[in-house]
Amino acid sequence: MDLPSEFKTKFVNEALDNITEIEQILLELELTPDNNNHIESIFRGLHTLKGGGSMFGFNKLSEFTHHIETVYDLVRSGEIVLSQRIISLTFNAVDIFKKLLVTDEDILQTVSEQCNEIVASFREIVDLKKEERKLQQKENSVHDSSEDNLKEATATYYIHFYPGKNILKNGTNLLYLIDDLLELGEGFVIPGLGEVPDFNEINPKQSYIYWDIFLATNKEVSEISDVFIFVESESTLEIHKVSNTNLFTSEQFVKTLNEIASRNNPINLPSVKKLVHKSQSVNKTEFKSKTKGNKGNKKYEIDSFNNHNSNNSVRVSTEKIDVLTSLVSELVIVQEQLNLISAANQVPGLQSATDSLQKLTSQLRDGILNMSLIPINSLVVRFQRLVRDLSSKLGKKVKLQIEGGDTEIDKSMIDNLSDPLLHIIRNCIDHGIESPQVRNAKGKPETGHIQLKAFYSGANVIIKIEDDGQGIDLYKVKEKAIERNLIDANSDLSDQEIMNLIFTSGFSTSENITQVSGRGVGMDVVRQNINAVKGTVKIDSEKNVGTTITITLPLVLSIIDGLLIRVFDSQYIIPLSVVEHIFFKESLSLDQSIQEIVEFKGTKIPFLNLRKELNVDAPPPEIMQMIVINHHGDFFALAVDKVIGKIQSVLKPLGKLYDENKYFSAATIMGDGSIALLLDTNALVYAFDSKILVN
Amino acid sequence: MDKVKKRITDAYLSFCLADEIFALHVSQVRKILELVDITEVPRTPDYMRGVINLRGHVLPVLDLNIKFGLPPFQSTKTSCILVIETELDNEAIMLGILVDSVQSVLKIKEEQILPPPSIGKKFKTDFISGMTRVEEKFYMILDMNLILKSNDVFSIKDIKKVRESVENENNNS
Repeated sequence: MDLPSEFKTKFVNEALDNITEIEQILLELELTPDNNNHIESIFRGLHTLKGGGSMFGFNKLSEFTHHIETVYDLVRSGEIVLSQRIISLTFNAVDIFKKLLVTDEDILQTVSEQCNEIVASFREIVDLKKEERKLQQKENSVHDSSEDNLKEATATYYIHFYPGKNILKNGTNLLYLIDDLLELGEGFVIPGLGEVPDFNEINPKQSYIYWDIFLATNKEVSEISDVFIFVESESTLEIHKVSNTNLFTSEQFVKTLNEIASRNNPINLPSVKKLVHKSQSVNKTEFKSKTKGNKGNKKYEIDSFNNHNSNNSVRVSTEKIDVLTSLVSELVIVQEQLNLISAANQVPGLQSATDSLQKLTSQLRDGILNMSLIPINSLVVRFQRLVRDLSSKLGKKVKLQIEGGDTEIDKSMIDNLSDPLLHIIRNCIDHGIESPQVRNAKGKPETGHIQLKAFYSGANVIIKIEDDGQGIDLYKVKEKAIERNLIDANSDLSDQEIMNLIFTSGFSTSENITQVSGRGVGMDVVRQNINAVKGTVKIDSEKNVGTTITITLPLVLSIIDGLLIRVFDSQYIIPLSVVEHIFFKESLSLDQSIQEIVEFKGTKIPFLNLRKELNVDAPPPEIMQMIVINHHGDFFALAVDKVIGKIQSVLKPLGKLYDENKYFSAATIMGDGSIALLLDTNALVYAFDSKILVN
Repeated sequence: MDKVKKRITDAYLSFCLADEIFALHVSQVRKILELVDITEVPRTPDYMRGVINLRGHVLPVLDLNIKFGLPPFQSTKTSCILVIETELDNEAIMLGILVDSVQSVLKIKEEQILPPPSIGKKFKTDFISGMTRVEEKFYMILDMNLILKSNDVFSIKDIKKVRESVENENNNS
C-alpha cells in the first residue's frame, strides 16, 4: 500500500523530532541512569516510532525499533538494569533510526547489517541479565515478599475494543495490537464475531471483529491505551478497571470466562460487573469507569494521560509562513501609504484610526517574523552528542556548556550554521582540549570546558565558542603556512593576520591527519558557510589558556524598523536597532576636522561623511545631522543631510546583479512607491578599517 | 505535434537602441514599461543605472548605451524599459534595459537566423547570438547572458561595421 508522499514526509519530520528527543533524553539519562521518567520517555518515544513506522511503510524501522523497545520494556519493569553498555548501544541505534528513514532499498540493505549487529548485542545483554535474574529469583524464593508486592499492584481491566470498519486501510495488523496488550500482563481475549456478515457480503478490505479482553496487569491505564494509540481515533475503545486484584487467580473467574467464550455470548459492561462480583467474594470492588470512548471522539477522564506532551506546538510548513510574511510585507507598505495620506489630509478621526492601525500592523509584523525564528537550543542536542562521542573516542574529558540557548535566529540561518558549529566544536575537542594527563601536568582541571554563548548585539546575533585548551600556537601556524606555500617565508605578519591563515583553504595544523579533523578542509569551509549568510568569523587565542571563536551574524529580518535619512536627493534607511544617538553639527566644522573625529558624550569617535562615501559632489547644507551608530559596542558617526524619521521598512533583496555591492544590503519600497536603499552599517565599518589602513 | 514541441513560438521583439535595431526572443521579454524614476545605487558601475519598483519588487535597470561605449542614455518620448528574464550563473534573474523605442514583433524562423559574423578577431561581436534579415532590414539578436557576464565595453562602432559588412555581403549575393 502506498501512502501519498506528503504523509510520509510528515511522518519522517515527526520521526526526526522524536529521534532527537530520544537522543536528548539519552544524554540526560547517561548522567542519571536511575531516572525512571527518562526511561519511560524513551520507551514512549520508541513506541511511537515503531507504530508510526509500520503505519507509513517503514517496516525495517518498525521492526528494529521493536527490538529496542523490548529491551527498554525490561528496563522499565526493572528486570534488567540500565547499564552504560545499553546506553551506548542505544546511541548507535538512534543513529540507525535516522538512516532507516529513507526508502532507498540499497541504503536499507547496508544499514540492515548494522541493525542486526545491534539487535544481537542487545539480545546478549538481555539474555545475560535474565539468567542473572533467574539465579537471583531462586535465591529470593525463600523471601517471597517481593513477589507479593508485585501482585498487590496488579489490577484487572476489562477492555472493549471495536476497531472501525476501515481500520485495515492504514496497514494496522490488529492481532499485533492484541499481542502487545497481552505483553502487559495476564489476559484473556474473547473475539466478538457477532457483527461478521454472511460470507457473500464480506468485504475483505474491512474489519468486522471486535474484542473483549480481560487483562490483569500492574501497568497504568495510560499504558493500556498507549497500545491503541494509532487506532483509537477510528475505533471504539473502552477501558474499565474492574478489580484491584488479579482476577485470574480466581478459578471461578477463569472458568466463567471460558464458558462465555465458548458460548459466544455478547459481553457488555453490566455482565462483566456481575461476573466480577461473583468471582470476588472477599475484595470489595472499587468500580470506576475510568475511560469511556466514543467512536472517533475519545474523551479521557484520566488527567495524567495527555500530559506527557506538555509542549503545545503546531507544525506549520514554511511555505505557509512565507505566504503570511509576504502578505504582512504588503500590509506594511500599504500602512506607510496610509500614513502619508493621513498626514497630508486633515480628516477628523483619520489620524487616530491610522495610528491604531499602525500599532496593530507592527504587532502583527513582529508576530509573524517571530514565527520563523528558532532558538539555537535546537542544535544543541547534536553538539552534546558530538562532544560525548568524540571525547570518549579520543580519551579526553570534555564538558560543553551552553549559554543563551534561547537566542533565536532565522530558520534558514540555523540550517547554515549547524555544520560550521559542529566543525568548530570538533576542532575544540580534537586540537584544543588536551588529554587529562597533559591537563593535569599543566595544572588545569582534568575536564576541559567548551562554552557556547549566544547573545544579541544590536542588529546582530553573536555566537562565541570558547575552550580552555592549549590555544593556537602562532609560531606553528606560521611555520605550517610557509611549508604549504601559503605565505612567503620572509613575510612580516601581525598576530591577527597569522591567525587568519587558519581560514585559508588547505591549511591544517594537526601533525597527523586524524579521522576526526585535520584534513585541512575545515576552517575555510566554516568561513565560507558563515559568509554565505553574511556573517563573519574571528579567532582569538592565547597559548595554554584557550581559543575563542566569535561568529557574528546579521539578524536577517525581512521587515525592520528603520531610520529614514536623506543625502542630497536620495533617501536611505539605517536599521534603527544600531542607531544610538542623533545630534547636529555644522558642516564647516566637519570639513575642518582633520582626522575625521567628532566628540560624542565626552569621547572622540570617528565619523564618515555619507556625501563623500556616496560620491555626491554638490555642496552640503550648512547644518548636518550626525547619527551615532553602535557597532557591537564601538561607536562611530555618520554625517547625513537630514534625518526624516522612523519608518517600517520591508526589505527587498537587490538581486544577484548587486551581489558585489557592499554598501547596500537591501532596498525598501516606500509608501509613495519610490525606493530607498538600506545602508549596511557593517560594511561601512569596513570603509573605516580600510581608511585607517590607508592613513 | 512535433512542430509544436520543436518551437513554441518563433516571435521576436525588435527594439531600437543606439541607432541600431536589435531583437530578443519574446520568451525572454516579460514586460514593457514606461520610463519611470530610477533610484540610483551609489558605488556601482555606471552602466548599472539603478533600481525601480516593479509591483513591489526591486528590479535592476541597465543602461546598455554605456556598455556600448556611448554617452549615457537620454530619455525621449518613445523610450521605455524592457523587462527581460535571463540567466546569470545558472540562476534566473529579471532585469530592465533602457531602450529608445520598441518596434514590432517579428516572425523569424530558426533557419533564417545567421550565425554571428566573425570578421577576424578585430571586433567583439560575441554579445550577438545571431543576425537575420526580415524584409530587407537587418536585426541583431542580443545575447543578454553574455552581456551580463562580461566586464568589457562593447563598441557600438564595431557593431555598426559588422552590420554593414554583413549587409553588403548579403546584398551582393
